[in-house]
Amino acid sequence: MEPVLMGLPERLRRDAELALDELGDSLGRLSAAVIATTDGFEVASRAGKGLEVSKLAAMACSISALGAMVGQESEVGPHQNVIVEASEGYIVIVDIPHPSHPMILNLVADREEMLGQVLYQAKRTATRLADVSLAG
Amino acid sequence: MREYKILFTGTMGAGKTTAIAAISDIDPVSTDVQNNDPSLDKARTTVGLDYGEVVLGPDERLRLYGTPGQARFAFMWGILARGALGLVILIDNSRPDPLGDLRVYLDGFADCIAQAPCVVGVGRLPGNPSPSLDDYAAALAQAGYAFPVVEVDVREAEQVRLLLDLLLLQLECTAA
Repeated sequence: MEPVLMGLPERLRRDAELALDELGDSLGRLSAAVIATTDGFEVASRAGKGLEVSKLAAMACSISALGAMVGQESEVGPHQNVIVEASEGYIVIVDIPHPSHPMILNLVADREEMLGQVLYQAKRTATRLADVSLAG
Repeated sequence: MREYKILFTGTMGAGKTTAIAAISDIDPVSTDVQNNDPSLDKARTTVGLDYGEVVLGPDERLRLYGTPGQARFAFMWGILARGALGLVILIDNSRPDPLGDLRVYLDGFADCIAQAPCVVGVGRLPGNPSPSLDDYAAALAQAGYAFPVVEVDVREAEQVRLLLDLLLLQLECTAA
């Protein structure tokens, strides 16, 4: 049974969906984009055929947490993101430090996409989502 | 330096992170994050791993690894089980189907259990007497296993050390 996420404010879920639409427009070679809670529940996603979004969400949050752990032990400051470089693409996992609903943004990009551009867009998206106010 | 890897697994809330913290000689590291699963009354949950160490002697130590408990992190189970010399399965007897929970971990760690000793620690028995330890033993026997099942309060270091003693005893018997 797929895990069901309840209790996430609708405003946040809507903004997450919009954010993925914008990322898809600015980065043409994404094979997957997933926004998940830090414990691996999918919030919003865009994924090509054959990619299991729920698995991607869970794996990305584990990698993010492990990155944070290693960073803390290495005393290099608060964790920001993890990049996996593979022969045919990149996986970029960026923290979305929303004060009440921390999340992660996981992008899977073709090698032809510029890593710097992917990282820039991912961080920009993460900052915007982290600032979403749920008051009122 | 001789090092032995011991793995702690079991349901969310069964006490894997607590067990390692109770006996670790180093400050344990963990990957606890905010829990969003409404079916589980817990503020935080492990999504990567827990790590601690127990020094046995000047040239000998145990490396303790805790797995995430939730099945959607089962991909971590295989990774963490590599090279494990023993497995501790912690079960929370207050959950609706503890024997069903046990089966999840027996299946999920079948490869590990085929090669390494295992011990089952049952928590929260006082107040939740069913299933009993005999029920657990019967369930294990039915699945073709015969390893120790004991009651444990993972907040008590001595009780967690007993679980490790039971693993190490099995290792010694196999080696002899």
